[in-house]
Amino acid sequence: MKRITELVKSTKNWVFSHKIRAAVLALVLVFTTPWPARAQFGLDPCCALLVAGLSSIQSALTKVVGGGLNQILGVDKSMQQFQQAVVWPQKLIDQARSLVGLLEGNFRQIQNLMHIPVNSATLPLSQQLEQVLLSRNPNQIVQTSGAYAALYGPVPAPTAASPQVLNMVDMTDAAAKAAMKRAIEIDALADLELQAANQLNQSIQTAAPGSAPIIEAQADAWLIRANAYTQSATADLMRLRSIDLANASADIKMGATNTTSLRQALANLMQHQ
Amino acid sequence: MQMIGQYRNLMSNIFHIRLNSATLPNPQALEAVIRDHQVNNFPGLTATFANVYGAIPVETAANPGDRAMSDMDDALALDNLKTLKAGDQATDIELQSADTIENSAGQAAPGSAPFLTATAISSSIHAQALTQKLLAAELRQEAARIAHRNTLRKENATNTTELRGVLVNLLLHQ
Repeated sequence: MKRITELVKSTKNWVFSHKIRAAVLALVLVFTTPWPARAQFGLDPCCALLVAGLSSIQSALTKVVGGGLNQILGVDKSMQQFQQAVVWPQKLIDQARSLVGLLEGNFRQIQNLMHIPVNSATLPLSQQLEQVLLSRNPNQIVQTSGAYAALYGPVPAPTAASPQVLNMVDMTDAAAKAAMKRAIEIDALADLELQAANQLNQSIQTAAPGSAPIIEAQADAWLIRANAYTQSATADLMRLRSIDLANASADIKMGATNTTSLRQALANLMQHQ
Repeated sequence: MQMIGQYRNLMSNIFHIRLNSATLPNPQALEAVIRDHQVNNFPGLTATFANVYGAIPVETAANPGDRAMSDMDDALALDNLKTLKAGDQATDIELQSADTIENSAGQAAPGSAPFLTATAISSSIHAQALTQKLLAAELRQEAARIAHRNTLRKENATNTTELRGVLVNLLLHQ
């Protein structure tokens, strides 16, 4: 306590002897002393300044940034409306889907027309071959040769004709039988294509608008495949006609050879008489 | 829509020009049946076909091979005529489908167009299948035609061999 009293006395003396320094020190302490923080309900003039600043920022955000954002939102809404009304209109998409359903009726009619029985043979051998040819069943292809030979006869025995004739006959039979087998194949493939097309139609009816092009691509692949099979059948038809043309030519060649041989034989006969 | 106006009726008119050309009653009747696009009158087709081309000879009138071959020729001709009648009707339906798709395309939106395109491709697959059926029928017919000629060639070879044998025997006995 004595010490404190002495400290106060010495401080008092220093202040009286250094009045200016003491005054400066007092001012420094006043300005550097930390102020207590005030809550928002305070009526401090500083709060008003803060409110004014915040209002200014809010105004800037509303007018400048908010305006821009509103414009972006407007564009976004317009785009959405455009997508809904012009690009993906639900009504037109539903109409397109219903069209697929409508055309499915047409497809079914075509399919039924292709499966109408057309058998017309009346005798056993021709009925047997006709049944195989119209079967649309690839498993029956193996029966083609037997039914064909039963109706059109086998290749003659080697002693029954010249080698040239035998070759021609065999080649012609081979081309005819191959064409008949190809006809069974093509019928069966066409049936499978119709099945696939029906499946694609089902998929189209249930497809999302965005996935329709995927089904479209798959359908395109099937169309290419179908074209390939059509070309294959056309090629077999051309082969058949080529063999037919070659036969016509061979008949002329053999006719010429036979005529020459006959002339020679007659000349020999005349010489021996 | 402009293309519809420009082409549809024009092409339809060309396609529906009457092609019938027979002048006598029986061929006229057959021609009418084979071009009527109907599939409910096959017995009529068979009857009119027989009126023009005759029936298969009776057993005593021809050898069994010739009768069978003739029956097969007639059968495949009739099969194909029936197939063609069905094909004609199917073609009419295909044209209807094409018109329907084209009408819809005129009102389509970009988002609904892929549905129409996929449907059109599916229709094309059906059309290809129909073409293949017709090609298969033509293959059968052509194959039967050259098989018939080949059988005649086989018979000629056999007959020639037999004739040669008869002549040789004749000369030997002289």
